[in-house]
Amino acid sequence: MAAGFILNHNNLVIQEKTWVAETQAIINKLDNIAALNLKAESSARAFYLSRDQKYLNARNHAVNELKERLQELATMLKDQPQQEKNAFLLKKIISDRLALTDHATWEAAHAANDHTTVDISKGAALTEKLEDLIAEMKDCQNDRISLRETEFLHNVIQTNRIEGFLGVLCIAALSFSLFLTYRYMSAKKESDVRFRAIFNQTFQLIGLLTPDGRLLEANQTALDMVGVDPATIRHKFFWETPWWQHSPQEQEILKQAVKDAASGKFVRFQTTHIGKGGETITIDFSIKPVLDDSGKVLYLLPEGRDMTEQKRAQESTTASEQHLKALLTCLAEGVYQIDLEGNLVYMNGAAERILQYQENELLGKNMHGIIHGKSDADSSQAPFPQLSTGQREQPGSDFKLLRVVERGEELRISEDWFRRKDGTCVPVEYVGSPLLQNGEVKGAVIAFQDITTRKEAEKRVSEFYSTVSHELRTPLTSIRGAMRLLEAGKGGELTERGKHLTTMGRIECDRLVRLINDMLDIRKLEAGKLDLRYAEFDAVDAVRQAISNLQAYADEHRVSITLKPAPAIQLNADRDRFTQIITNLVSNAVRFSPLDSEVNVSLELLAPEKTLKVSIQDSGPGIKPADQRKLFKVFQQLDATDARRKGGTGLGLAICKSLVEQHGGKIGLSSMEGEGATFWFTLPLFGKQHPVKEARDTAVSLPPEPKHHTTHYRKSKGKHARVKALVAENDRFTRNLLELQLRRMGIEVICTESGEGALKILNRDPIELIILELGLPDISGTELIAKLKAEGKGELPLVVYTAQDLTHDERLATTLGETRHLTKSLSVEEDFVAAVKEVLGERARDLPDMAVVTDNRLPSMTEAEALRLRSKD
Amino acid sequence: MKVLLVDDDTNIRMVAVMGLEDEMDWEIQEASSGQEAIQLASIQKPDLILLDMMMPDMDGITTFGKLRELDTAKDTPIIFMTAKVQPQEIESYKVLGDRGVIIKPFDPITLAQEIQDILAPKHNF
Repeated sequence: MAAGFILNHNNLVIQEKTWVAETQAIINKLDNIAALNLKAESSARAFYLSRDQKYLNARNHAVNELKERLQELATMLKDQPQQEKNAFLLKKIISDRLALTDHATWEAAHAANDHTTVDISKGAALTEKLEDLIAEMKDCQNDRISLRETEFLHNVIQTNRIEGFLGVLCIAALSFSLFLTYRYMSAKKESDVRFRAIFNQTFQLIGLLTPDGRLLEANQTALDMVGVDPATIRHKFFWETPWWQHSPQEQEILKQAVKDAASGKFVRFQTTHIGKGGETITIDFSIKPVLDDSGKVLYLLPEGRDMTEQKRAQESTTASEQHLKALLTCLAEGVYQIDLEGNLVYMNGAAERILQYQENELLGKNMHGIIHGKSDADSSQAPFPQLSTGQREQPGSDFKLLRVVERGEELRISEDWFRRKDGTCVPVEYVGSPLLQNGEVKGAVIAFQDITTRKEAEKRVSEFYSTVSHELRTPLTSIRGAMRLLEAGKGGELTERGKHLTTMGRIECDRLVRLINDMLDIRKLEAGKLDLRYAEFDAVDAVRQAISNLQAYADEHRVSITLKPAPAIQLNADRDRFTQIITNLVSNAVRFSPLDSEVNVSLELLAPEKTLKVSIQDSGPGIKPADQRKLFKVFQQLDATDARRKGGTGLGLAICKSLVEQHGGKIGLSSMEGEGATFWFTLPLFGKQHPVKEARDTAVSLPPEPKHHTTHYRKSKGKHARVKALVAENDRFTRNLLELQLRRMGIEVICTESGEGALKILNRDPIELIILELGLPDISGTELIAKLKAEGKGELPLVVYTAQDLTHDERLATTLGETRHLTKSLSVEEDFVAAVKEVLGERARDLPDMAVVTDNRLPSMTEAEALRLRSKD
Repeated sequence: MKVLLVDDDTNIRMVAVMGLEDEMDWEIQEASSGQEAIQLASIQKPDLILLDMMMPDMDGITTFGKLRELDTAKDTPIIFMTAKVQPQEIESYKVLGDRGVIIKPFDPITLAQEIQDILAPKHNF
């Protein structure tokens, strides 16, 4: 009985359990189907929104699973005809629903635009149907369970058997049922959560609107932004929701956008919203219309991306860009930027001003053709159209700036021309720098400066020199011409003395011309403006010609010049300058050579260095090693009188040095005092022009100390200590005469036309002799002498030169140390010279030999005269 | 040969004329300004013009241009005389199509020879 009961009971329980399990499995399956359907749908929706392939994969996976479950369900419901029908219906609805999403998914995956047509009405209807059906089917199953439970319970109560087990079973079944219900709920919730997560996260702000603009849904981010309960805003017009309430303007924009979207357009605009904390949020906002198959708009899908960060970054970039541009605008230098092709990217205000273009006129255009290219009117500055200045580069020779981008090298051009809009050219100095980005050249930035002012200043200086040269040469032309005509007998037969004098005048004119030429050269050398014109020529031939041009000069000095025979040597140099160097060095050698001696010129090729060496050997007095260094400096002859005595200008060697160095060569000499000198220089055979800068570095500069030749007095130098005399005489003619006579005696002279001037000079300079006119306009001679005595100058030798006849007392009053009194009308030149020699006594014997010293200077001006002249300017 | 000598400096003209007086078949006409030169050249066709570059009122280049506009001087050889010696200045004269440049100070004794050298074909620029 007990076994039977147990068996019976067991069978019953197993039967019940199986039934419940089967029924539960059906409910489970339905739940599963519902969950999978949701999953498929939400994945599809996520895909529409994100276009992320992973959502599409998830959806396909869910769809496959869904198909399997539907098949299983159909098998399970075989014995329930009504439910089987429902299962069939369910399958159809789901496949319809899937077909619908399949279509949309395909479109989303393939459509190029953002236009996704999701037939939501149909989908929603199907989903609703589907959900209803599943619910019905589940209800049905639950009903069956409830019925079965009731029957079972009833049966149990009636039979009153196994009551303990029943209770357990019932509870188990019920709890199981509840558990499944929960499972279903949770599955739905889970899918929802998942969707919500996507909804909330895929895009920052998403919502759903009716075509007339009423809000159906908004995601959490959107809700969080304004901090409202979704229930309070649902079905409100979107523009009346808190997102838009901060600005009526934005509301109007939105209204229009909704209208546009409702007509089927995709609308996108940027808008600003006020966040919960009051901060401004920039939003990239778009509204997508969601259409059905017939193209009717069913929903609107508003989306917004928070652009605040990007905008802030962009703003700060823009700000720093603007900052930089403002800075560049303020610059006086023109700045522009080109890309790799040479097209304009940017141009600052100064560049616009200098070039006369507006930035937008040139943007993207090739700068080469515009500002660097060749123009017909080459320059508005140059006085002559084809004026050539050697180193200067005319616009358009080649687009050097492209080298900057090609090689990534910096380029500095100290002088070039840019063309302006009006066709004129502006002289510029510029620097081109490559623009690097991650180590790659992206273009070039060019900074340039208008050097018109500098050029004008240079031009003025150059014109000044040119004019001075011209002004000096014009009278010289007449003077020299007159001398030449006289020499040639055009002025009638001259005496030997007359011929001698005219020749001397002509020679001195020649020297002045040379001096003017040398001064122009020196100025150019100092300014680094001496341009070399390179050409190939035979150096031996050039030297031979230079020597033959100097033949007359050498004959005058009774010196012969010999050129050591040499084969032709091709040299690339400036021929005129090369000749100038030879002429200078050879004429120097001739000048310093004794009579009937020889100057030897030789050329040799220093093969390894490909260098030409020219040597000029003389048998002159030679130069002490200590003095050799000084030789090449401007106005630095060993003795200031030396070069002039020999007819030099004092600039020749300095010019030679500069010219040789500018050719890239060297100059020097070897000499022992008393054994002649050999000057040599080398030039590279294939000379290359050296940069101007180098020429500047080696350019000869004037020594800072005052030059002897510029002052009226000079320090005693050499073995003949020169006596310094003061001439105080107000009559100009007499003063000049006295000065000349004193000079001839080798005496240094300072002149003054007043007593005050005399006192000043006497206090300032070491005067050893006074020549005094007693009738000076300001201070009488007696008074002046008294003052000098009082100042302790009572012992100075003095020659009184006066028109008055002097009494004995007057003579006493006008006596210093050794004194002679001369009367103007009575004294002749010889008396004066004798008087000077007498008062000088011992010192007179130290005076230089007249034959050696020939002072050719013009009578000097008194300081007052100089002042008057200066004040005239 | 009729030579028109244009220079504002009387002394220079005198020196030049005296230097050229041995050329028996040369007939020298003097002009002290560009204006005068144009006047003289338009009256009598010169065979050679010696033209100073630096003159007040009308400089050598302007005078050159105006002379070239004259029927009587449009083909006349013109030799510039200048006291400016900077190479670019001299070169700028050359491009004007003159026959040559005489640099001041010139030598009156060899002036005729210098002119003949310039007029000889080998010295054409």
